[in-house]
Amino acid sequence: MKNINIKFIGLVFMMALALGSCKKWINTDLNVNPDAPSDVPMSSILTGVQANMAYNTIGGNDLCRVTSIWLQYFQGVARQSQSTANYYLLPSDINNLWVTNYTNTMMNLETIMSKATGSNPTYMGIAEVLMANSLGITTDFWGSIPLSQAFQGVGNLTPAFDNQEAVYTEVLRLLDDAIIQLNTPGAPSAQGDVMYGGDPAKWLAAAHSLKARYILHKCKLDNTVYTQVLAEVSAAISSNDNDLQFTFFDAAGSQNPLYQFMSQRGDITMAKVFIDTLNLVRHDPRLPMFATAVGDTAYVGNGWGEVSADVSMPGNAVAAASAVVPFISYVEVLFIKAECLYKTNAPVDQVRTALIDAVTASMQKWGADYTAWMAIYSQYINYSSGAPLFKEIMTQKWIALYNQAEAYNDWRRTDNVIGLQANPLTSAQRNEMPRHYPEAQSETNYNPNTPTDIDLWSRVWWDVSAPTK
Amino acid sequence: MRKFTLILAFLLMAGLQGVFAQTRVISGTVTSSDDKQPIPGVTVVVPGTTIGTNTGMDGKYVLAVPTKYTSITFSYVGMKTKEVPIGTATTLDVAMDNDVMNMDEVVVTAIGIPRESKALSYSVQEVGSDDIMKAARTDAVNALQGKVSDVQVINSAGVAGGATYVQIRGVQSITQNNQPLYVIDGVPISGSESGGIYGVDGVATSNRNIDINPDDIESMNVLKGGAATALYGLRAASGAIVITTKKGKSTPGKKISVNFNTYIQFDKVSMLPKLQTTYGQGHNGKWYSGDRLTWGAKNDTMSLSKDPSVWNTWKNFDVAGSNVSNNNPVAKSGAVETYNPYDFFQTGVTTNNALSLMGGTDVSTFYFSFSDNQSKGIVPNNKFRRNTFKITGDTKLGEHFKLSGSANYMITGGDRIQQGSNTSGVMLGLLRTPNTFDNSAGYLLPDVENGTIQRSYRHGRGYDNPYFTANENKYSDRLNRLIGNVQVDYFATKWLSFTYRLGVDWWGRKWQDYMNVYSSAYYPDGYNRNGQETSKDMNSDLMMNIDKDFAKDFNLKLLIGQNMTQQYYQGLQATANGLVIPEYYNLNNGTTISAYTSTTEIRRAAIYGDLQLSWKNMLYLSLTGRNDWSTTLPQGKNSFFYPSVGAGWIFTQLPGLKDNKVLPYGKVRISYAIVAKDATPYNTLTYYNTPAVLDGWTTGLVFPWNGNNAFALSNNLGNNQLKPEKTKTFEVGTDLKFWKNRFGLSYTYFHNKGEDLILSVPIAASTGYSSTTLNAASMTTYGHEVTLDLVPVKTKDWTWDILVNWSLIKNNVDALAPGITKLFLGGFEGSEIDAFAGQPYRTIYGYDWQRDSHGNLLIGDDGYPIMTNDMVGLGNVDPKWTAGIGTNLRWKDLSLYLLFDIKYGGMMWNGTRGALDYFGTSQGTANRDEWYTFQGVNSKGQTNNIPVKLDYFWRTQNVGSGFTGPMSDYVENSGWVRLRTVTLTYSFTNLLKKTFIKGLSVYFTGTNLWISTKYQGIDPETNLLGASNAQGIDYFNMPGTRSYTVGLNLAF
Repeated sequence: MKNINIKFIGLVFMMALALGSCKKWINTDLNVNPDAPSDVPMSSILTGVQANMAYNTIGGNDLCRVTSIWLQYFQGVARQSQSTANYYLLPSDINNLWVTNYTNTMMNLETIMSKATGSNPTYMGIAEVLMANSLGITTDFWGSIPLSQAFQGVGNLTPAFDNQEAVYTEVLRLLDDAIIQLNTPGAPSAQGDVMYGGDPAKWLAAAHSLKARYILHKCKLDNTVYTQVLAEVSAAISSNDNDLQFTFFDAAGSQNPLYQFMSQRGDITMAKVFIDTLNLVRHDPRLPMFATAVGDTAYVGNGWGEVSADVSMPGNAVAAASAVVPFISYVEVLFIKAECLYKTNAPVDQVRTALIDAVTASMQKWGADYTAWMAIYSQYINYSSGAPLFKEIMTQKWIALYNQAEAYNDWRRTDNVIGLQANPLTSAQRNEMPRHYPEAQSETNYNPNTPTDIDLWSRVWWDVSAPTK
Repeated sequence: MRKFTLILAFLLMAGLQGVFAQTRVISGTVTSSDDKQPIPGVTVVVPGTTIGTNTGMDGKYVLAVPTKYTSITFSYVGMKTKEVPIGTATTLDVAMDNDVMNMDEVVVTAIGIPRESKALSYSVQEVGSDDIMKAARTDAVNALQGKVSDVQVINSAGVAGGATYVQIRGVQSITQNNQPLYVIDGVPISGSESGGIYGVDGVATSNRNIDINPDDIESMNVLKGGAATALYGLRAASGAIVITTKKGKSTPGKKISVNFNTYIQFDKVSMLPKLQTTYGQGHNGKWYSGDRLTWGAKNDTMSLSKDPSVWNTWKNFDVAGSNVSNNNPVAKSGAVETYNPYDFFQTGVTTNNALSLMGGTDVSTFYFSFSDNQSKGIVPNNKFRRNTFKITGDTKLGEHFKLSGSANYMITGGDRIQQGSNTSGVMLGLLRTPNTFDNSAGYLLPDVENGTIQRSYRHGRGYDNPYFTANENKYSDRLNRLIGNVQVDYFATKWLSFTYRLGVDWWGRKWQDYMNVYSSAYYPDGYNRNGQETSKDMNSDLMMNIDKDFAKDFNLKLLIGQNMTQQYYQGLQATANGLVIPEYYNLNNGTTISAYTSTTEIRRAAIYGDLQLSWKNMLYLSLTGRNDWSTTLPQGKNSFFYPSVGAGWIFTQLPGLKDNKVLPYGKVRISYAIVAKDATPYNTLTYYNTPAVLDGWTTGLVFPWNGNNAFALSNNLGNNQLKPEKTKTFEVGTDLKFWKNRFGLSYTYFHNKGEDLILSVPIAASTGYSSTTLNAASMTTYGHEVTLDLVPVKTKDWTWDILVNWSLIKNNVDALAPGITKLFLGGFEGSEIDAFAGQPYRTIYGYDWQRDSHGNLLIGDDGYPIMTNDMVGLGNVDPKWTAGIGTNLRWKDLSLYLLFDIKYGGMMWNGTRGALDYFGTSQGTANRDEWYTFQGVNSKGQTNNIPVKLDYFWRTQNVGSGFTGPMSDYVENSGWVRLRTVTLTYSFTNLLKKTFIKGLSVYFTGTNLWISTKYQGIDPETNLLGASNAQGIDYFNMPGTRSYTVGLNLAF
């Protein structure tokens, strides 16, 4: 028995020893993911943000494709795109757009800003420009959005929604501060900037351009904005070469979002309205860049409800694997200038020249052979003035901003001065073009502050109804 | 590791004494007290030592017993264990009594501890090797189907080598794993699904329980409740399947026994969605070549034509001719033919061969097995193969030590097929193809103008021709796995023993996955991906066991143990995107090449104790406690203790009730337990990841992008305040056996309350993140389990027995997280499987038709119903109750076994039918030209009387299909009654009694030969998302099968 006791004690000792080793064995430092860093430099965040903005937001299929169908560049002929053409857009349809914009884009920009504050004016300025652009897009499509209480993680799981006026104030504040930051003498170049190579001067021009755009958005509220806009235009992007745009490449995993959509999904074709405007009426030399030909030279689009596959598809300007996605362009700046000159009652020659400049820049942007066409067009414009001239400016801007969601802002801002017809079919939810995105499904689900009274025909703050005549 | 070696050395040195002690030889014959026949194979041991033997074929034994020991115990399954004092005798003949009531039945409980089932305070159910063999399934876990109450086993896909979802007593965790822990011979193994991601597309991969050779299994014991699994702790929070494998045995006079089991199995597709053949390809009533829809002309109004004027452009696609109207002058090539897409499926064939050898002496035993399982699926080129080798042995080192161990080496792998929501998915391509297009007439067109193109019904785009997928898009994998364990037992005295057990489970898997450049999904890029993953699990248990009678009528069993585990996983994956040379599948052939690693390492330690007190074999009290330390929780919150308490009372042992003829055995049991569980690793910090630039439509951008790498702040916010989640389980039940065990009844009620459940919570994106991990949810599950066994007939020639299992589970998600009422578990946006606060887990959630307050459809002025603006709950995935009814009828050497499996209720989203109503291929669209009046009320509250057509416009341009409209029309009852297994066995054993052949039987097994269900699609035992929590989704899933097996079992 004694023998056993000794063994017993021995084993208990062994067990105790094994327990003693627990401390070493259970080391919570093991709970740090070896495959993901806990901190990274600003440069690597910036690249991802730019890619996300280009692919998911500004060139994104849930923003561009939808507005392009509504603006009749494209026709939705199948599945969700067909629903879009019938003015159905569900909270779940735009959820990815909303979520990636808030997280992958804006939260990461917040991160850059918090790293760059007081230490790197270039990164600060770039992040502010991109933040202003992202916020601007978000509020233009959703009106009131979380901002002052947003980006706080568990600090505030249910951020309140700020009204659009407040968001616009912040957009313009960000741009003003970006202009100060980017004007800092000796501001360094920023690594990881795949759009402007980190050049503060180019970002400065982009900041002024965006300021012009966002001030102009308020035109229905305040007819003095045009003068303010013209002041920004003078410091804005001054050549096609300096467009703020994201370039894609023809390599797997690097291609343009619309290219990927067309090759992996399809479901859209060119719309009859856009094709006919360019083709039948104007013989526009940009047509071969904007759309594919059926046969050798014919350009055909689907009308409302038509689903033919033997029509033109989006062309290389927007749907090539390497097609660029413009955030804001020289062309847009020139059109803004033309519009503001018109609205500030500048001499009509000045307005016409500004329009010709804008159209010419667009032709040059896409490498169109425009000399002959432009000769005729310039003569035609010389007969135009007053309201028809304004309509022409906006029509040409609609053409030049092909597949850019900014054209949808113009459409709302000018109350369809270009005269697009809404879907007249009974299959449409309403025979009236939508003016608003629905609230995102996940925001409604997880944030009780999300407005519940929004539908596709709600209007954002700056999109006030035209006074009844 | 050095520590373990030290312990081993200590144990060895301490025990080797006594080998040379003085002995005497005892011999005798063991017979049955009933029929006086000798019993072979009785275990004869000296208690408290390793000394022992077995009786031979003639019931005789010889055993050398050191003089200091005074008794011998005799034990045999189905007999009452007997301890006999030796005294001065050298001959001990023993008559053993039948244990009609299975009073001494021993089951393996947590940590591999054998316990008498009568002493347990919770219910256990076991499935034996015979049942496993009869079920003839590649994955042995399937043998549990219908056999064990409250165990749901769902084959996720009718594919060779697909994963199996197992759920015991409902779910315990909201977003964490709900799969049980698999334990082989006391060592937990890794049961995870390889291939990792539970996506809605891709291939169906295996989970790791498929690696086990079913023929190696002696029994599978299901530990259901908290009290049963409390000792296993956190890893068994969802229950445990305790597998005991076959061991060698010494039989005097026989050195080696051989067992050979072989079967061949044929699989046929069982149920398929019904399709229409009236209308052909096209839209709006007109035929168009290459059209994606089947809303074209009526086939009987059309003829084929090979006239160049209509046929030349697409003649490579429409090989039989273009379709033209009957009265078209060029209609000269006969009537339009329709093709049956289901001709694509083939008869699957599985062959299984398993050989085992076992034997031994009084000192050492061994078991060796080899098996080969080869399956060919119902889809061409779908293959699965498994080879296993297992060696198990034990040896006695002196009187007090026993060393045992086993090594199981497995090689599994297969060629897997793309499925689900995937433009390459087989069913997707198959079912969307118009009936007028012949997929089988070639899938590649090498000579068309623009180079090679796939031949599919949409002119090479859209969806892959299923023949193309099966032949040109491949996913093949191969896994090597070693499960091994070493165990040392030290029997210090009659009542004290120590055990040390070390187990490892190591596996490595390699796979290659590629898509042809002509595949629609990746056109015109293609990709090639190679991956490797390694998993290493280590488990160590050191235990002290006390089993002592003290005072009169009291027995104490005490176990104290220490456990250490480590789980390590590393996956490595590289992808070449954009293949430069078509059909050359190598990582060096891409325009971009990306790679990533994924590593997890978890360590846990625990001490545990189990105290069991019994009084007069009547009252049993047990207490357990376990303290865990885990690395996955933050420091300070990672040590947690949880107890269980239980009692069992065999009331028939009361003096007045004892030896009652009607109810000889009756027990009531009650238990309460708390089980705690840690988190998955790496949830306490926020990280930066390679950005995922994905829009939900396309394959997106891949970093490094054009030479630029990037990182983005993760959308998942870390939480450094995590603590363990807890489930409190209460269980009460009774076991009654009547009339010499001719009728038995077991009833169990359980109530689980989960608190502080850890869940990955989606949060509003405006917080800057889209998810975080919180201890927030609570969930209640309760249920009833009833088991009935009945032996109506039992004579020499006839036996008829019936076993019925019935279980009902109610579940309610009490709360998710503050402000969160709904949690996405899986599916598609808009067609979801969710956890919904206040609803049962797994609510189907989506859009519905607008209804009035009475539930009537609201019909618009156009005569059509109107879709809701918001999503609503549309049903619960889990069944209301399930039952299994098994019956075995034996006449002499012939026996027939039938197992009916009933699932009552439970909903499934038939997304396949919803999509096919859009495409116009489904049977439901055959009425497109008929007038139809929706039952419902208009905006004025009047009964709708506007006739409409469910036509092309409504189905495809409006809300009349699962693609464009609400999912509610496609949420279907997936309940069933099925003949799960039927087995006819004939045993030649009695005929061959005088030969060297110990046993020979042939059997025929049919699986799923008959299914009755309301479900309008494939066999509803299916799930798109494999063994994940999001069950209840059928979206172009692979169809299930019915199988026919012929087998032979030979032993000598």
